[in-house]
Amino acid sequence: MSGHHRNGELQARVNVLLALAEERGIVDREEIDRRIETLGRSVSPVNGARMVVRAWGDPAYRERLLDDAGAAAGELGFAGGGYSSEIRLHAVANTPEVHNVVVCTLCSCYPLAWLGPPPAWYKSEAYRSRVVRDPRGVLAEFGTTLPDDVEVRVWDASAEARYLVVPMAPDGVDTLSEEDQLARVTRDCLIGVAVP
Amino acid sequence: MRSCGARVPLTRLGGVAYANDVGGMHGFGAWPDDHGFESVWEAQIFALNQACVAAGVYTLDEFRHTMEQIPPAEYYAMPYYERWLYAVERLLP
Repeated sequence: MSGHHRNGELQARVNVLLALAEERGIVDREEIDRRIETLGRSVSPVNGARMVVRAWGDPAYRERLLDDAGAAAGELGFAGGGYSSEIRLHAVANTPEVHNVVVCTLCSCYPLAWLGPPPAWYKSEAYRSRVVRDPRGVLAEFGTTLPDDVEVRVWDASAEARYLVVPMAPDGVDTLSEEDQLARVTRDCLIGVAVP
Repeated sequence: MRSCGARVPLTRLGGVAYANDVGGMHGFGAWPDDHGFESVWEAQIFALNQACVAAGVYTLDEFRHTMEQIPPAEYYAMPYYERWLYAVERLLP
């Protein structure tokens, strides 16, 4: 079966479900489109970067972020949501002694409501299976080589707990504009496979 | 069964392992290059699932539990969002 044909079959199956959901008054096509648009527009890794950059320059915010990341995200206008209010956001900070990296070994739990959908590799069996047994090797493949004396903590996200890594500020951060600082905090830094 | 979020792998307690429980396993090769939604239906099933959970048609845990019961051979052969489609097809009707 060609990929094109297969894709058409899958689209047809989704169309059946969309029609059923509309018929039952659960969700109409406009809301489906609105949700897709929100994912593409207002929810992105830049939200996480704004939280990190604020924490770099504001110790009190950093403390609030590490204490209750969901509330700290809300302070900047990033409300989360989408699925349910049961999902909690946790921020884990890198230090000279500890480096954090996030995975969901069982599926693909991710701070989606704040950062948008996860990258394809985050959802792959390859990443999920390996980062818990060989985190240094995985990080090295992403170009992040850590000194041997830095402890690596791997956080296994769950339905209720989603993790955001707060990387350390790069040297000379004070000389960078806010835009340049934001640009350094990539999505991969927020997952923990890269550093600014 | 072990649902997403359990802290102790049930396999270590003599329980049943599901195909999704891949932490520590070998042999999955390289991870794919980064990409977003590759087809319209992928974004639609994503949004439909989100809306169903938000409306209380089923819970996120029910959704996961349904995906986790896909037989292993099918699970690994199935593209990521087709697993979502599989679950919503069983939970929505």
